[in-house]
Amino acid sequence: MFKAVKGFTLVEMMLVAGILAIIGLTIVATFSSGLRIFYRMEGYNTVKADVLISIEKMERDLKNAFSYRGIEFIGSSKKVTFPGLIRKFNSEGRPEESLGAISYYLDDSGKTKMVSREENKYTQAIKKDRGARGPITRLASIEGLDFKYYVYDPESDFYSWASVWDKSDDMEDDEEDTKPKQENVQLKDREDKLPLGVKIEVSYKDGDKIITLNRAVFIQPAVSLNLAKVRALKKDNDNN
Amino acid sequence: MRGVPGLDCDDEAIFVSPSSQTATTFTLHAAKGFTFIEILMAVSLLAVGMVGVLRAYSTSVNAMEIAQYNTDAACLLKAVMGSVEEDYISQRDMPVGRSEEVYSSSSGIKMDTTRSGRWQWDKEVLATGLQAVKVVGPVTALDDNPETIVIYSLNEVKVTVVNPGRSPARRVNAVTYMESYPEDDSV
Repeated sequence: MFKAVKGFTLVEMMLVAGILAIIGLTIVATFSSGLRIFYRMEGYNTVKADVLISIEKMERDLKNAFSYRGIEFIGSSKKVTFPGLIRKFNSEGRPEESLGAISYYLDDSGKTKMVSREENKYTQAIKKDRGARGPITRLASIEGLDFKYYVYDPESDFYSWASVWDKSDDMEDDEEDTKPKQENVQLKDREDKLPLGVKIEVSYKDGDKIITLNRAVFIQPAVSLNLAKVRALKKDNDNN
Repeated sequence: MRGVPGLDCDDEAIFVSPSSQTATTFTLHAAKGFTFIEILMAVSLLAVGMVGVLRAYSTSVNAMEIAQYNTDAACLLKAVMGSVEEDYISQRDMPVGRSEEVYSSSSGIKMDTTRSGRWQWDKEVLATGLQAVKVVGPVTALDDNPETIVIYSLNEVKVTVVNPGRSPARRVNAVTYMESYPEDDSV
């Protein structure tokens, strides 16, 4: 008699189980959708933001590139090296800006491919010591990296994007040729050692999709010099 | 049976306690329940709370959409500015005028097109009227208007990007200035 009063009927139990199931399902659904959104957000924030920041960094360094004796601008489709301002630590251990070589390349030695930035001190850079390597910063996890260089061909009067920029051989010839010339002429001529611009193309993975971004960066000293030279040439031709 | 004291006691207990217990249980249940008004209040409070949470959720999703729009716009703007600069270098001039373009994979610009809508941009070149001049004639007085030749004039280049397929479709623009040399016109 006691038991009959205190117990639950089957219908009651089923009702409770049903209600619990509905509540549980709702909670799980909300939680899993929230989790999915969280992962999407995090993926967006980390990958895309890192890629965009790495492009900004490359853009800033390339825009400020200059011509410097000893450190040449050398570019291939996978790697670019140019003179720029680097950070180094002085004897007191404080960071300071210094002249050096900056490289950007795709590092595929690890598990994931990374766009990396390498800084080499001037002394390291001029020795062309391939073994010695400066501090490397891994900027973003990407799928592919491609550089193109904007070049001017004076013979055909045509501008195009080339996949290689290497004038280091000309530099050595030049040094013999330009010795009798005036100092400022030499300085001006050295702007020719820079490409007019660099086109950066980065592809990265967003979920299961591969997205490609590109951006052209122009090096102002090289552009101004080229335009001035071409205009002067045109004027001479018109006068003749 | 009545002679056994233990059984006598048990008999009495069985008879009395069930009835008194059922009575107590019944009164307790009646006191523990909620009234209709109470439930109505609880549900409406819950509803107000839920609306607040959902509103915050949708606001944050909106804010993220706007942030993504601005990021994409800034990225595209820089890419378009790059191609404008490329044109300026190869043509050595940027003539006054206006041109519009809709994003396509053949436009030379590559960008993130995961989200809806099509990006488009327009380029507007205006003459500012500012000129760099060289004095060729003699200057006799301060208010004299000496003979000059124009070295170059300054043009304003305004690039605007927008994606009408997204809301809000903000127009994002950047302005730069480019020199226009008169001798280039004759070439």
